[in-house]
Amino acid sequence: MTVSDGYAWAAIGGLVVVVFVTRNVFMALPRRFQPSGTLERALRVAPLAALVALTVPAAAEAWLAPGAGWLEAWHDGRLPAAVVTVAVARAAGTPFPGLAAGIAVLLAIGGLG
Amino acid sequence: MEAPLKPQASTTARPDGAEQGFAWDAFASGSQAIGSTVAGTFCWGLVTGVAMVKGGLTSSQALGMVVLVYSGTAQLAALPLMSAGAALTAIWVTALLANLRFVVYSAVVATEFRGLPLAQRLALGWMTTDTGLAAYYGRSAGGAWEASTGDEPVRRRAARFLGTNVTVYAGWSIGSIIGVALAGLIPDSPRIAFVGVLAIMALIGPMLAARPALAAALAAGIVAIVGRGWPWRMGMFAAIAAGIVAAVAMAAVAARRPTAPSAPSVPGGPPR
Repeated sequence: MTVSDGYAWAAIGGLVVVVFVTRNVFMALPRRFQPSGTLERALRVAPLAALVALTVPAAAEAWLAPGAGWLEAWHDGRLPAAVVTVAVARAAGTPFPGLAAGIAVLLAIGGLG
Repeated sequence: MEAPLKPQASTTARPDGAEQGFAWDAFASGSQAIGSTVAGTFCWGLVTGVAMVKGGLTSSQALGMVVLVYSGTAQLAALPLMSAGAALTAIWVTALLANLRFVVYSAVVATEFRGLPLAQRLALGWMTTDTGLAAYYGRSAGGAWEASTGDEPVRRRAARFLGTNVTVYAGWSIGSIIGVALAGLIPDSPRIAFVGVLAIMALIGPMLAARPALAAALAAGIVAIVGRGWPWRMGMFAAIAAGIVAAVAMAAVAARRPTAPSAPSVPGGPPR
């Protein structure tokens, strides 16, 4: 399965623009348009919420599948790996130890096959 | 890969009359602030590079993605849609939603580099990464935004910011290129792709210090699970909204209790 060249490069070109614009929205704006007060505080958690929303359904997939048994879901290993990753990264205050521990749990419970 | 990025901050005269030239020592201190975190960025790049090829992109398409798009979440969010041949607009909107946090970062970065020429600000803005920004502010996540840069001149701040983010870019690109190159040697497995998910979760961990952040994560996680089948990634959009509302509510509750401890900064990070 491959993605056609024209389609892929059109998508990539658009992604470059989207990423450039999202990272620079406030660069070009005068100070008075920059968020302040409650809005600013509220916006600070948006990145966290987005990252959680991206990852949690994938981590819990085996548990959410219709008709999934508990034993089966446990042997999937993704949810425990995710929990360990977050817990260790939080305790360490930096991502890498969490990632290493999470991969170790994933390998130990279900392997990568 | 650093070369094309440096001159943008090295050749411009400063209106404040400060010393001309590029502040290499500030650049180096920014680079050192990233430290071992760059190993995680390397791994995430590696996994993302593999995922791009496994998702059906050719090697040149995959390299274009990792080097030009330079956004793991945007790439990983767009990839399944590209593999499925989804409408281009859907791909771009999904990437936009997945990258909404960078809009917030841009508000923060914009206040740091006010006074620099627009081109330099745009270049610095494009280089912004999660880990780079966190390291720039001294590694803490929850309290990072309160950090003060004191009297440090803007050109030194810019050099330091560039130092952190060029290092991240190098780690990311090298990892990604190796991932693209070795993708054929690694068996196709959703469990390997899940390592990329774990890398994002590793980024989440240190952010979960303050109570509003915990509330936001809990609400976003629940709504994301409930809305995981919704079209147009609306479940994710709803999850972000729920996270924001939960954080504001938690902050409001905490504010009403004067004895409640204030949000702690992230513990455990090595001082740099």
